[in-house]
Amino acid sequence: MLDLDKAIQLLKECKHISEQDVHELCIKAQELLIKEANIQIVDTPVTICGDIHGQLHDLLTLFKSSGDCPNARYLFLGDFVDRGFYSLESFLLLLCLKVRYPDRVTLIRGNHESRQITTVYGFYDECIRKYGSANVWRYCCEVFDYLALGALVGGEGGVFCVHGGLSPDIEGINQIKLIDRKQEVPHEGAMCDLLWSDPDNVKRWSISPRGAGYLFGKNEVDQFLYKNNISLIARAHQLVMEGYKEMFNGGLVTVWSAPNYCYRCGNVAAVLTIDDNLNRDYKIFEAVLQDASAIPSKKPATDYFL
Amino acid sequence: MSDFQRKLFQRKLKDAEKALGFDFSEESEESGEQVTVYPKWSEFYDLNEVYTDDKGNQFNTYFTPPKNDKSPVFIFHHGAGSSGLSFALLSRTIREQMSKENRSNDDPVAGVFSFDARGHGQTEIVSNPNDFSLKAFTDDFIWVLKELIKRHTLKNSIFAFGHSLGGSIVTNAFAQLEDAGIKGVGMFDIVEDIAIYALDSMGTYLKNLPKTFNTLEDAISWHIKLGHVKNRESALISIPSYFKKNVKTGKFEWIMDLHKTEDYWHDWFTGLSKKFVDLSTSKLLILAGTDNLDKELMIGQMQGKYQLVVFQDTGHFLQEDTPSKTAITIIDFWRRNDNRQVIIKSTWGSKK
Repeated sequence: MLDLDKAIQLLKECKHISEQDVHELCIKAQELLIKEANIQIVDTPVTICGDIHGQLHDLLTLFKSSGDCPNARYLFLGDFVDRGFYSLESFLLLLCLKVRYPDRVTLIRGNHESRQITTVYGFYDECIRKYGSANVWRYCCEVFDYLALGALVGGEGGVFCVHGGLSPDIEGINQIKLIDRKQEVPHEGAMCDLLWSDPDNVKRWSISPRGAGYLFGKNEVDQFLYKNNISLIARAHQLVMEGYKEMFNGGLVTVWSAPNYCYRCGNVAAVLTIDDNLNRDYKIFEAVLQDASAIPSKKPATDYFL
Repeated sequence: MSDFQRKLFQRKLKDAEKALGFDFSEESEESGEQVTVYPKWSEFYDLNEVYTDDKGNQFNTYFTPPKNDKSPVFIFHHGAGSSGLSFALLSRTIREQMSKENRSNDDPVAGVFSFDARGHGQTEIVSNPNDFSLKAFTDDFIWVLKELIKRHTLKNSIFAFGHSLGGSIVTNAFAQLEDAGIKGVGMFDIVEDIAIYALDSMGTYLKNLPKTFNTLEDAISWHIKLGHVKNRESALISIPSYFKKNVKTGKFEWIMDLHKTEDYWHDWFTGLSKKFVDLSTSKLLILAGTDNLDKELMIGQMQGKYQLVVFQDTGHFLQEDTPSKTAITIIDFWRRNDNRQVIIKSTWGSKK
């Protein structure tokens, strides 16, 4: 039987939990997530966190600086896994907290919560390395399919939260409710855009250099805020060296929560707390692991430069 | 029996003969050389033209023109030690793929172009032939590209891709080529920090490089055995173009002596990642194996500045190892980024 409090303790110490426990946890999480709407309604006060990418030690710093769960309420904007060395522990810890304190933790889906992306960017390999088979990866991917696509914080005049950004197919938050989200992230369409798009100084919808999603500008943000009666779009998805960045007269913010991303980018991280009066409070934090040279990397083949 | 299997069989037979005390090696090597039929450039491209500049430098080029004005032209630049024919199979695959997708007669099929850079293949450089600086390669590339556009009066959208050192050259050239209608730049398997790190072991690598091969088949087998190229179909057209036959010894020697380029190695790659991320055009980076990015590319990728694609099941010469996947990726990249093609439909404001 899965002992959640014990699992939380083990994961915080970056220790192994059994494959059976992972399975049980993932089933429980699915049962919980299936009941959630595509857009979760979240109460204030809440701390909104951006990309984590398997940086478990920095996630623990985040909890230390912004308050332990369940004392503080958290909303994570996705991209829990890939690139960092502790994707599995980070995701399982968040999942344990979700199952243990469902009303205190909200997890929404990022573009990395996908089978296709995790096989390329590290999470799949990490699961194989740590468990010797793909089972654990498969259980986690099942959970990914059930994660909500966004959240609405603070009701009217509040904050719309999503991993990537807006979609040319989604003018109103109500339209998101019509998406059948229980699937692998598609290559195009509304669900893809919500997880992939970026804000930029563009006059109209533009092609995203990423190869998925779109670029949207102040016009789109202003319209979206007005039509949906909200004051802010909070999203993650883009590395911000200063941890967070407000754009379009404060109508949109990017929050990034993986300090010194991938142990080499030299950035700080941030979280955003929204209080009962919808005031914004940003908290900056730095990486635990600063030394990139301590990280083993794959050596390139000698023919590399030819 | 495929050529490859036959070769293998012949080799086994030869070993067995040796074990029995016979040695027919000379004869069988000779006849072996005659059995393999190497494909010709004309199976991959329509034209093989020599472009001569005003200094008398002669660039060997391969080109198949675009089907019509709305077809893009894809330009390819090979890496150090390789040749224009490294893109032969990819070029043909791209055209086959696009033709397959066509619904009507005036649908686009890309033009494809590659050439031998200075010191490589059949290109003959007479002015400063030992200048292998990034600037020299870049100047050549710009001249060749402009010459191509002029000769064939091209008005098409152009996308330029480079493998390895070639990636550095097309990136370096783009800033000076904005007027040439380049709509996108792609690099195949090149990351600045990792290339520079790999340079440390290049000396040893070159020292262990066989100076000559008895036959072209030996050269091809060597490349395949070491995993430099994994796809024999491509190796048959690309590898022979790296060698010339010494008429005295009858052996095959490398056309490009990479030792001569040693002084320029750092020059080729220093500052590449930042330059690439800062390019003001659509950018594609395809990596082989893993997403091993350096700091600049990592920040750029996570800020959404370019498209990253990782092929896990390929070696460094990804255009040769996985031509179909590379073709599909390039065609998708063109479709998304050619502003003559793209119209973004929004449903916003439709329900009033």
